[in-house]
Amino acid sequence: MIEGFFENLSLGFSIGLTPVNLLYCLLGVVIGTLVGVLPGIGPTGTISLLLPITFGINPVAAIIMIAGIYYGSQYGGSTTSILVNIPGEAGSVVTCLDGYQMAKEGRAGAALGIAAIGSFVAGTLGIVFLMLLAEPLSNVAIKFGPPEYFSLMVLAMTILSYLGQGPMMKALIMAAVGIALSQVGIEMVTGQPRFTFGIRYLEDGIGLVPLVMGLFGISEVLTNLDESATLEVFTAKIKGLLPNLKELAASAMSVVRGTILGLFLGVLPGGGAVISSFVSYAVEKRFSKHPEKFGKGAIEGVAGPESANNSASSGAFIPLFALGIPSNVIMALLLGALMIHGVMPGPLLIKEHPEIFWGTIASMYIGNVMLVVLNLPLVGLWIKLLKVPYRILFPFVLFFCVIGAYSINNSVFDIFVMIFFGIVGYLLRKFRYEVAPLVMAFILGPMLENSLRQSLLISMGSFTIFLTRPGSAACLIISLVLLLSPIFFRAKHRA
Amino acid sequence: MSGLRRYDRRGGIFWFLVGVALCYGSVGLRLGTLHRPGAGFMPFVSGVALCLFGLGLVISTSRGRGREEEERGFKLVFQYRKTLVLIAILIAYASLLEYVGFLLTAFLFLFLLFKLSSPGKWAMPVVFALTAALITYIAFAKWLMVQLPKGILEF
Repeated sequence: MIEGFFENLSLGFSIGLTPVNLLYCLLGVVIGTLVGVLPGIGPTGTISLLLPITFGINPVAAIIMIAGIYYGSQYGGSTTSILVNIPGEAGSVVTCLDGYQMAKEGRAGAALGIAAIGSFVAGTLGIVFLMLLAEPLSNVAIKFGPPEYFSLMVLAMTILSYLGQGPMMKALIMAAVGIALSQVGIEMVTGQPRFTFGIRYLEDGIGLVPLVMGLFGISEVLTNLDESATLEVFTAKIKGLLPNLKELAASAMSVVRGTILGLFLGVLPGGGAVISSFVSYAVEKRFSKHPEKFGKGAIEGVAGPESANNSASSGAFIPLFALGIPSNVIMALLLGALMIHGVMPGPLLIKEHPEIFWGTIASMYIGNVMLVVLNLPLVGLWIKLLKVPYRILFPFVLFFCVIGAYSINNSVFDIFVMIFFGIVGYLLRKFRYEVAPLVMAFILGPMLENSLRQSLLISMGSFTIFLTRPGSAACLIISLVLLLSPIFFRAKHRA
Repeated sequence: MSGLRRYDRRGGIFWFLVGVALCYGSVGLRLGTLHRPGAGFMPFVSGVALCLFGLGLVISTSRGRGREEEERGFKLVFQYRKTLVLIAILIAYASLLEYVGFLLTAFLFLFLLFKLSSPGKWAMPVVFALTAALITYIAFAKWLMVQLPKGILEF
């Protein structure tokens, strides 16, 4: 078994180290760091912007690049948090608390250094975890039938809604809208058009790329224009990028704790970088002998969350590769990209396409090394980029959106679809609806319908099949508990 | 009831009505049987879910305690003029692209956007728009071999 493991890993490195894949890996981590550093443009918007470009390259290179953007953005996000006190990335929100204070005390170098070291250690351990866990998990998942898959998808969407910001009902509404939107187009079994309103272009369904570009790219620009925030970049010269021995000793256990937390929370649907970084901060404060120092420049408050958000981004790949179920919206976009390339993610992916799984794993090791180089010695370059005003940036974002939407099918209709969802996304953001559950449900919608239909065929039309099979029943019970939990909490609150 | 909660209540009613419309449309598509679900089955399920969650939102807003935190930062700001101009530019771009061609529309599109972001300036929008349009044309049409519309300029 161990022999096979190393054989697979060397296959991965033989793929990951080809010049083309190295180039896409570098491109991914550079773009990831860039969008991580720049507030106002996130990895989700960027990946949706670049999806059309990935159609023209082979699936391994495409996944390597997208993965690089994802984990690269977690590295870059910390730079902005520490130096500007604005999170470059949602996963780095808590890094602002102590990172910026450290910078104000003249310890910006140490803060940036520990963020990069923590990210590297956690990112690398995360990949080891992914490598060891994905295959055994996929072996279990092979035994899953349509009812288990249906319930697992319901659970994934429920957890995503439960852990989101704001009321759960709004997130659930978004998920239902996402499923409804995924129904547009010719129905696969009967060949009947659904909700196409006589528009020929809609017969193939709503395109994933124009939908996500609209919801993330266009709407992000429209929202940012409303909120004219100005940035105050920390301009003092940054000295010494390595924390001293005392600081390293203080943060060592925080890195370990953050890594472990991130791994487990990253695997959970809806978990990911944001929640793990918050939980890690709370844990670090709890474990600290000097909790009063938190918020005033405690290095543990940077080391823990920065490790957690990076290991979470590796952990998030596990459900995608092992089960074919994305745990967050970026993984859902990766799933969409794989499907567009004709690769069906699921328990058989590792066996049928070892080059994708092991190639991505190897590229992640390489990418993590690239990121340390990019984020430590080159930090000055990213600080300069922080000074590019948003008014220069946004026309380019919009321009890439329109080219991207057009280039998929050479169709102007796709641009109109993108504009439509841009306006919808803008309004949803204004009224505090999260669009992530919508996109996730949109991608999972067709799979959800298929597994529901197949389950009902197996059971001769009885819904009890979802409750008589233990795996499926467990997922549905957990979903129900989560759905009802706000009611219980409210009752308890009143009592 | 104030601020976000009021909007959420109206939102809940809106989504409930969307759900009803979805269910109505699904019935027209044929629901089939549980044993053999028809084309309208899944849209019907999502319509019912939307109705339930919409109602849930309405109910939660009428009880809603403990949402003060969320309410506090909420302020509905619309910069109507800027937003509408931007949407109009996007629609104009999409409408003209195939007739006028990529290069010219790209230049006009970027020029207008830079002009919108830096109203007082002329040289910067022209230089930025021209450079970006030419670079992307070379990158997409020549390097990535993307079929871009030629339009009246025929290149």
